[in-house]
Amino acid sequence: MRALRRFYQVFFLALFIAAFALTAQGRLKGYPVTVFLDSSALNAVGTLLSARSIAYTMWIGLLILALTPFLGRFFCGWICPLGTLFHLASSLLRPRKMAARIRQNLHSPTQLAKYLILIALLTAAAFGFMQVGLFDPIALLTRTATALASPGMRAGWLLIGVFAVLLLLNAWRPRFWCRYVCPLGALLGATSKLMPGGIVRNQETCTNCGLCNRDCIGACSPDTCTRMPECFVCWNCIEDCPEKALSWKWLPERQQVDMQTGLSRRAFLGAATGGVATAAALHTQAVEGYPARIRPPGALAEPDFLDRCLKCGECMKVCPTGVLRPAMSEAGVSGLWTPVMDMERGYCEYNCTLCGQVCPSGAIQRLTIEEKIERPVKTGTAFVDRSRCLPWSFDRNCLVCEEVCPVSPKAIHTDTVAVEIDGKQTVLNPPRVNPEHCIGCGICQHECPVNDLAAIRITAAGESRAPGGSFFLR
Amino acid sequence: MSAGKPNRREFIKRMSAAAGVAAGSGVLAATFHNRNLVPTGEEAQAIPSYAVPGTEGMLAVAEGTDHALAVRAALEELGGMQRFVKAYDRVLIKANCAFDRPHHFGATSSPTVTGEIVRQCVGLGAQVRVTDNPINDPEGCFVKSGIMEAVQSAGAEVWLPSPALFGRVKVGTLRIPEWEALYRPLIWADKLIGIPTVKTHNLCGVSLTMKNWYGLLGGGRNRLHQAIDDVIADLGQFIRPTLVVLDGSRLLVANGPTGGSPSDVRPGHVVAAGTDQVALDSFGAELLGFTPTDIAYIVKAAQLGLGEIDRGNLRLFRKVRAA
Repeated sequence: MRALRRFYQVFFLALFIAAFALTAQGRLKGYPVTVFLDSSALNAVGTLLSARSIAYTMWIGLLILALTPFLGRFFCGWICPLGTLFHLASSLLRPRKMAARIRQNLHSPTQLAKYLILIALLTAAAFGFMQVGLFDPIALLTRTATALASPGMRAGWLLIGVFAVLLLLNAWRPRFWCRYVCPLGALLGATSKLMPGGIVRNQETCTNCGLCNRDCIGACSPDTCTRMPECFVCWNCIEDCPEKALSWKWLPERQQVDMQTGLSRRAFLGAATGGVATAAALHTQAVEGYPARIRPPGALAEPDFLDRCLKCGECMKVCPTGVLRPAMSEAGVSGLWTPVMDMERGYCEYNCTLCGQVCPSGAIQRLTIEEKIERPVKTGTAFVDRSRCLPWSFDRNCLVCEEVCPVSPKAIHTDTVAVEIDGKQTVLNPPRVNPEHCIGCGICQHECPVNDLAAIRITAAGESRAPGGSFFLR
Repeated sequence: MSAGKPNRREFIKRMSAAAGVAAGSGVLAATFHNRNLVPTGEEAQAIPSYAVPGTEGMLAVAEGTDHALAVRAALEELGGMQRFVKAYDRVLIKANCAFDRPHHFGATSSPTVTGEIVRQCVGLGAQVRVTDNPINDPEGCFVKSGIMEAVQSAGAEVWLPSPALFGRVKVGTLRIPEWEALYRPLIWADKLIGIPTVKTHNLCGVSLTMKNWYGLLGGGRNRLHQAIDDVIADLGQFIRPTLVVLDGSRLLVANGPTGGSPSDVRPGHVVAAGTDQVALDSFGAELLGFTPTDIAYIVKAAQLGLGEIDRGNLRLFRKVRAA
C-alpha cells in the first residue's frame, strides 16, 4: 500500500509539474493545464457560494467531493501535489529518535483550526468577499511556482518566503499545513464524516506500543479511536501494527471510530460570524476609482470577476509579454493578488488570448482572437500626457506610439503643427488618441521613449467589461 | 593536537581550507557582482560588408501570382543564387518579422518568399539562420507569422534574439555613429540576405529595405524615431548586404507599419531582387504610390552614395513575368 501510494503521489506531482510547464505560449495547445485547480473541491464550493455558478471544468472537484464520503481524504493522501511536497519535506526533516517521531504524529486539538478557516472563508465568500484562492492548496502551489518561474515578479519573494516557512514547519509537525491550515482538507474531512467504514482497533490484541503513530500522516489517533475526518487513508497504521490490531471495518460500531470533526456549535458560529465580519469590514467592491486596475482582456465585470478569481497566477504564468502581475492595492482589499496589467513591464498582445485559455474559474473568459478584435474588447484607454510628450512639449518629433499601435485604423493619429524653432520652420506631429479605436492594450505606453513615467499612459477608464463603462457619450 | 605549533598535516589542512574559502568567495563574487553598475565602455565594432564583389548596382523585378516562382525568376535574372551564396557559407537572413500577427495582415514577410530563399541557400549547401529582433514577443512573432514553420521546413533554423547576442556596433555618419545590435549573429555570418516587406510607415512614409535593418538593432531604439530619416540612411550605411529580396507579394498600403486589418492589404504579386538598396527602396516606394524623391530618407541615402534613385543608372535592371 505504501509503495502504491508513493507511486500515485509522485505521479500526480509530476503531472502537476508537467501541466505547469505546459502553461506557456507555444506549448499550451489545448492541454487541460488547470486540471489540478479544477480538482480542488474548495474552489468549486467557494465559487458556487460567491458567484452562484461555477466553471464547467470544476466538475472534477465536485466528483472528488462526492467520492470522499466513500473513500475518505484520498485526495489529501494520494493526489494533492502540495501535500506530496510537504510529505517529502516531512520525511527529510523528521527526527531520528522513534519516540520523538511518534510524538509528532499524536493528534492535537489545534487541528481544529483548519475547520474554522474553512468556515470563515466560505461564509465570507457567500457574502461576496471571495478569498478562497488565497488558502486553496493548489492555488497556493501554482502561485508560488509562478513566482519561482518568473524572476522579478512583484512580491515573488514574499510567496517564496511563505512557502519556505511552510516547508520548514514540517520539521515541527509533519504535513503541518495539511493538518492545521488547509481549508480544502477541512472540507474533505468534514465530508468524510459520512464514511460508512473506518479504521478500527482490536483492544484485545493491541499492546499500546504506539507504533501505529510512527508514520500516521493525518495525526488521526489510530492508537485510541481513529478520527476519520483527520485520516488520510494512507494505511500506514494498519501496515505498521506488529500485532495486526488495526483493520478497516465497514459499518463499525459507534464507539469504534470517531466521526466527529470536533467542531462545536459555538466554534462554528464564531467562525461564521468572523467570516461575515471580515467580509463586511474589508470587502471593496467599488466599481470606479481604481485607475490602475486594468484587467486582462476577457475579464468579467468587476464584481463578477472578484467572485470568481482564485488568485492562482495561471494568467500571469502564461502571459507572453509579462504584463500581468498581482495586484497589491490597485484593486482594493478584495482584489489582492488578482491580475492587473502593468504597462511598464509589458503590454497586452493584440493577437493573443492566452490568459483566458488558462483561467480555471472563468473570471477571464475564453475569447477567440476574432472576438477580442471584433467586439472589440477594450481594457482601458490611452491618455497622452502632453507635458511629457516630445512633439507636444519638447520641439521634437517621435510618434513611436502611433507606429506600434496595433489596431486598424490606428487609435493614435497626429496633428500637423508648423512651428519656428531657433529661427527655423519645422513641422511637428503631436499625437492624439481616438477613443473609439483605442483598446487600452498599452503597447504605446510600453514603447514610449520617455522612461520612468511614459508620456502616454493607460488607465482603466472606458473598459468595455463594465456596463456603460465608456466615459464618452456614444 | 597540541596548543602550540601546528604540525605539517594541520598546516596543510588549514591552508587548503583558507584557499577554498578564498576561491569560493571569488567565484561567488565573479558570479553575482553587478556588471551593470558602470558603463562598460565597450568599444563599438565595425560590421564588415557582406556584398559579393562584382554584383553591385543590380535590380531584377519579377511579377507573378506564384510567389516562389517569382523569387526564382528574379534571382535567375541576377545570375541565380549561386552567384551570391556558396557551399558552407553561413547565411544570416533578416526577414521582417516585427509583429505578432498572421502573414496575410501584411506586416511581416511572406512565409512563401522567405521559405523559397531559405530553400535555395540550403540547396547550395549553405548553413542558414533567420533572425529578427521584433517589436512584439519574438517567439509569438515568428510562430504566428508562419515564418518559423516555413524556415524550419526549408531546412534552416530561426535565431531568436537574446541579450547575450547583442553588442555595440558602428552604424552610420548622419545620426547614430554607434548602437546596440545583434552583434553575434552579424559576425557569425559570411553572407547577409534581407527580406523586407513593402509597407507604408507612419513616420517615414515607407518601410522597405533599409528600414528592415532596424530589426537588427536593440537598446533604446524607440529614441531613434526622433530623427528617423537620418537613422534609416545610417542603417543603409550600416549594412552592406549580399542580396535583398523585396517581398511585394502583398503590399501594406494603409495603417503601416503594423496594419491590423486585411483591408489594409492589397495583392502585389511582385518580387524585386537586387543589391542596390536605394534602387530597391525607390522601386518599393513607387509600388506604394509614392515618388521616391518625396521620401526623405531615400534622398539622404542617395546623397550618401548608397545607390541610385534613377534605375537608368543601374548596371543591370530587368523586369520579367514569372509564369
